[in-house]
Amino acid sequence: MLTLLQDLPWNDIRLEYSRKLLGMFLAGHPNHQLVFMRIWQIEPSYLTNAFRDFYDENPLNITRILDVAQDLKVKFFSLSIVHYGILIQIVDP
Amino acid sequence: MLIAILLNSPRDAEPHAVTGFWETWSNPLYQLRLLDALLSLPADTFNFVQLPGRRIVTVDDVSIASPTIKSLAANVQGQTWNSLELFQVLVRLAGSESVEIRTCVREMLDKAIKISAEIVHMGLLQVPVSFILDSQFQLC
Repeated sequence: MLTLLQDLPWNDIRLEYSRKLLGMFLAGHPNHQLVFMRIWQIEPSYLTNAFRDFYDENPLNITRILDVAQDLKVKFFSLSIVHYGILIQIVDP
Repeated sequence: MLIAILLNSPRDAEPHAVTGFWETWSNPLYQLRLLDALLSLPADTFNFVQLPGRRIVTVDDVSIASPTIKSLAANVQGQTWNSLELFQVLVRLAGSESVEIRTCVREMLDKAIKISAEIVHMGLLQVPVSFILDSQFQLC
């Protein structure tokens, strides 16, 4: 997420609130499915970058990433382009 | 009076009266406070969704999604915060040099998160970059 957002002319408040909310939904907010579906429709690279950063924070987050991906019916092949580490986890868990 | 004008303005009028709220005002703090007051009204008194404008999310946007996601969209699509133009104003003024204006934007976003965090997140993401660049150009 950070990479994408730094490329855009986002002001501090927009950046801060988007990060906070992304963290909230990744952590398991009950309505996360709607948000991730819409992000996937609007700006899929935002979500794949968010997955990558979330994985970098802690490789154990792969479980949550795969849960979200499954909700979205994102194919593992698509996820594999996000991060080499995630690809390894999927192929050889 | 203001609510009556907004609600009774013909829907096919171009531009509709509500578009005045999405313009750049000479007193943006007053603009924010007025928007905040309108957003705080009970839904049966005033709701921006009743007026013409672009929505952040509708059920139609997720028509091919699971029943759970459709149900979540149905729950939020009638929220008064479901206005892309509203978020364009907030994002534009979030970049203001005035601490008072930025504080007001934060307070409004904090309130909105308590009502519908999903609308706020999707709204912040959907404000087009071209809109911000255009706005910055106009303000120069």
